[in-house]
Amino acid sequence: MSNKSIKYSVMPPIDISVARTSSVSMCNLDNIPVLNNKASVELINFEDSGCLILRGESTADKIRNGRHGEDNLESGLRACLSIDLPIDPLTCSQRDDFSVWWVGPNEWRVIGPAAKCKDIEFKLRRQLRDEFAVVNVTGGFIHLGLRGANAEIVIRKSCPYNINTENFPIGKVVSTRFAKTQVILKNAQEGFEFLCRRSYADYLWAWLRDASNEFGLKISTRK
Amino acid sequence: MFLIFCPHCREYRSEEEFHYQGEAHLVRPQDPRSCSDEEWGNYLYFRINPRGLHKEMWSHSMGCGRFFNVVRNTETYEIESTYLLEENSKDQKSKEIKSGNRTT
Repeated sequence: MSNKSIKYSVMPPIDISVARTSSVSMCNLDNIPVLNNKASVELINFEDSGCLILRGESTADKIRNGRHGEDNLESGLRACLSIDLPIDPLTCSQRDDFSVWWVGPNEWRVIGPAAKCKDIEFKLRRQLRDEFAVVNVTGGFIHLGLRGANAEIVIRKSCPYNINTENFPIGKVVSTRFAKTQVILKNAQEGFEFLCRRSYADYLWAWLRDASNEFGLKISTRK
Repeated sequence: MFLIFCPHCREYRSEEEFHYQGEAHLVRPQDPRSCSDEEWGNYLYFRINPRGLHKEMWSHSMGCGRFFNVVRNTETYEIESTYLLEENSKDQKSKEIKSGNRTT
């Protein structure tokens, strides 16, 4: 990691595998055995992921502003990324390496390769009109994945949200409490993905390492 | 643990994701300069403390982050309904609320 060039525009990517100390007093990382590759929980750091916050008029805002029926965000996003905006709560849509996650009635997260995010940010700014905001928060969030046979149990331990398949099907995105921090949790095809604040990465790492100790945890990095 | 229906996410979520944000439907005086100290003081500081149904504002602070209104029974903690801020509260059990509050 150390000899890699810094690709993030704001801050260098955090390397979760070398985090030594933790703010979790209950968890003594020294007593936890060395990570092994036969583990049934895999933590993935998508280190090249970038993140944009996209805000705009929700349907309710549009009705209030007398612009009901016009589409701005939808057409703008289609023009820039060929992605349909997920209007329904707790959904996401995906095309190639970009995905758009619903966060609130007038807020979305656009997630894709950090290198392309900058272009998309400027493209969206040029394309959109009326009320909108596009902010590049690549440096502020980390994108993690949790996979493997026991990943589900680790999430059940940490999060009050009901992740039964009928309540949390593939493609659903919820923002909820995870340990003592907030994450945006997504049920992706291959496992779970989440976005968490970068400043909490160390805390979350300590927590996940503790929570998955009984199953063993393996760490990998993806582009 | 009890569940609260978030009208933005349109599903029941755990209570620990939410925060209480005070009494709902407070109306700021149209012209603060011309209203009396009493009117302004009432708007700023005085809140109803009903026994029974109470309309209050909550935010889904760890979820979608948005505000919404809740009709809650302060005796039983039972939540009667939740609705969006822009929705008119007239349909939302206003009769019971009128009879049940501003007694103290």
